[in-house]
Amino acid sequence: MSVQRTEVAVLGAGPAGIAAALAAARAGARVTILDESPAPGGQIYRQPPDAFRLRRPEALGKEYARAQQLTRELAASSAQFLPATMVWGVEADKTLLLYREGGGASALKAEALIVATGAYDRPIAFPGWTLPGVWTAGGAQAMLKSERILPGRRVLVAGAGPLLLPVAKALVEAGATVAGVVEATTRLEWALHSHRMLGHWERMGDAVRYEAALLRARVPRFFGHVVVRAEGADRVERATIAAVDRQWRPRPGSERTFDVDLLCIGYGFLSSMELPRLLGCELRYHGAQGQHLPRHTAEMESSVPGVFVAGETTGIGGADLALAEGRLAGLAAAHLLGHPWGAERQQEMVAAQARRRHQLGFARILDELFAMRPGIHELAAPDTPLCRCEEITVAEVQAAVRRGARTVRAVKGATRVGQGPCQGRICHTLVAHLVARETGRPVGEVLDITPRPPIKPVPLEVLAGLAEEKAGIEP
Amino acid sequence: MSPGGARHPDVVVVGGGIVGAACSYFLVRAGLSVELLERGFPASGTSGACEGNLLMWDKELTRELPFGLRSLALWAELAQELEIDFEFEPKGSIMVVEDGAGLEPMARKVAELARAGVPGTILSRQELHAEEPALAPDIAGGALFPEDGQVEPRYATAALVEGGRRHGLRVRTDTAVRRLHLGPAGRVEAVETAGERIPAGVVVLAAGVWTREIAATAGLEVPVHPRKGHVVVVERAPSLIRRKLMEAGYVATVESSDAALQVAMVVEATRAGTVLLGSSRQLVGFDRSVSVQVAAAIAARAIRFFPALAGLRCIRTYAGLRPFSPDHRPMIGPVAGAEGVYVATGHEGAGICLAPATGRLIAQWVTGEPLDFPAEWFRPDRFRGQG
Repeated sequence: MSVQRTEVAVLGAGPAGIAAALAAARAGARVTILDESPAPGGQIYRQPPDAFRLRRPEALGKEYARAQQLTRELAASSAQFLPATMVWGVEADKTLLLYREGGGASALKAEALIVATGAYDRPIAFPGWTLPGVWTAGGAQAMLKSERILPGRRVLVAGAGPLLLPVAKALVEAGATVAGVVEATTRLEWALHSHRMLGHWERMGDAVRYEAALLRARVPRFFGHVVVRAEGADRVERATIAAVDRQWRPRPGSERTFDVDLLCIGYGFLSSMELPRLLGCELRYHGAQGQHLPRHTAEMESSVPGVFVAGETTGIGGADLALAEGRLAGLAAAHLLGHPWGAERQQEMVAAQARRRHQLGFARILDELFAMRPGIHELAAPDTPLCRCEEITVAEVQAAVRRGARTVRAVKGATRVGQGPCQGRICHTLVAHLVARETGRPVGEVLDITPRPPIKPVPLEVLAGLAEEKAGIEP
Repeated sequence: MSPGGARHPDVVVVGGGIVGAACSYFLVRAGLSVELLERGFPASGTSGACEGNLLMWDKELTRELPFGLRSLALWAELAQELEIDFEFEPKGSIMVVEDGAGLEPMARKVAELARAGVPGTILSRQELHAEEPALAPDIAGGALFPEDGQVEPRYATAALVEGGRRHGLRVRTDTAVRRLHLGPAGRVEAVETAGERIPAGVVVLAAGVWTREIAATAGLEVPVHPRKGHVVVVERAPSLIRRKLMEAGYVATVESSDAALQVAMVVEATRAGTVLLGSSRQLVGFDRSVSVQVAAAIAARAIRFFPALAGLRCIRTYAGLRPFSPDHRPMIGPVAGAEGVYVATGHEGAGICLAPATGRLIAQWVTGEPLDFPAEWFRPDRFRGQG
């Protein structure tokens, strides 16, 4: 197995990662940037594969244009891009253990790491949530963007947060009938937050365009509603929504059912914490975002020297915030490695700091408006699976808690929760909310997971390959 | 005082791993009032980071094997008796020999075990591959021990704890013991936790590798040390591996006192369908973190015997600390230098296997019933002065 060396390794080639790679490279550092996808762009700037000839690139929106520009800059820079490459482990000396589908195993030793591994859809459990045809909004969007496949004809889009609108719009444009956009927050709550959004015109403008498109397509909107269950024989056939109170608990008698073949659920995102955890970064629980996030300095350095964090890794905040944080992290990492800054870099740093503060302001408003409320974690029935890999139900987790399990790790010890291929990525927070409710303890305290390699499943021969390598060096 | 003004327990058991759970279970079954103190949750230490082997052919013949046979019989009874299903599977184990040179020693071992009461059958190369079609074709031969088995260790611990509760066992999780208090005559008086002093006439220390430091708070010597082991978990592969397989060299690594890393192939499927790969042994103190290099060595050894594993995905790894004594035999019985203090630890990699017989023996020591086995076999004071 080959071990390559670099100065700055950037993990993730979304907006934050690309910005970090560009900034570090411009500052004179040798940079390697990698991503699990075959092309840079991340989730938000996800691009269709080259095989698709685009007749109307403008249909993909201004994000597409921005992605094009950034990836062109990346290609023109000195940074090396490793496509379709997964990090499955890391050693204390910042040697990354990599695996590339079809390309085998390798290792990359870096002097500084920038973790920009993004986020994934926040799972919410309700009866029927594991039925085929129930998709995450992010998953449906990715399918539309990269594969140009329409996963259903008659769709309900439900959840909370700014992603629902572009997903619904994209579905309409792709030819689906959107039976409704179901948003848990109310119009009144939006209105009460709107004055604070003044000054964020670019983001407001996006929202207005999405709203207008949905209005033109006569897509029904339901505010203050949530999906309470999905039903169907082999796949989703019906979805039922209900009006909710301020705690997002369904109001009796307010249910209505829709015939659908696709249900897109989007309750925002959770940051991928596998790498920060594995690297030993100190985390704290962020209540409004409902997740653990790494502590970091104003220059985006985590508690582990030489390990920087940027973009959704520091909390959900969107592409513009990610760009600012990526730039900061890239500049700081280069500086740490002894690449001196001129006045220009200093200025860039100050500008990025200001940009970050501005975007953070907007992110905090969205945090408050769209924070999960208790009722959403109470929808699952006793027989609803929480861990879809091992099919562990709410009742089984409750039984473990009755027998004394007071944390997620203890529940894992008493059931097989989180022991399947997803390694708890989906179920850990679901279990945490249930354990917290049953024990009366804060979620942040019961979510006590221990990171161990491999953080993503990796062929056994890739793991074994490492042994042969070492055996060659050490008799 | 205990919460709610409940009376003091007759016995305090320290440690909620498989051994502490088994001691508690047999003590309450003997009619004693027992309180089990666990610093985390049941099986949160070594018992939650192992494979659950019920294996006879690796046991030392004169003492450990008779003890193991009793324990195996008790596991079968417990599987009927306890409410929680702990996936007891008497699936049989196969000792495999990599090349022809190992066949002769294996045949001797099989004969020896048969005389000691462990039935085994020598398998020709053809028979071996009929039993386990996924084995590499060049593996020379093996021996089948049909009475060996396995349990899911965490479920087994929970089953014993819950079974104990039905007989009045009180369990306190998240409760670490900080000190053991002895009276002037060396009689145990109490154990001290972060928040309280729990009076106890009898204390059973079953805290695995952590027993030594707890005993030391009362000036008592329990020479138990950690020997780290890793397990690699492979994604579900239904019916790829049928029984429990170990290479014959496994016994040598178990008996060895070498501090350096040793790896011997141990492979088995769980009821959930995943495949567990072991085994490694190293002396690296109390560090429970996973070493990728050790996991890699285990993976490579498993692939040597089962080439089809190569393309399957590794989904998890974990590491645990086996408690080992200077002679690799358990320490079960009263501690010298104190009255009313018993230990049950030092089982090394056989804690799951030997837990029921250990629990029963401890209950006999505490109640004064006749012992199932001679007192001196596992007496903790056999190392005095060797510490």
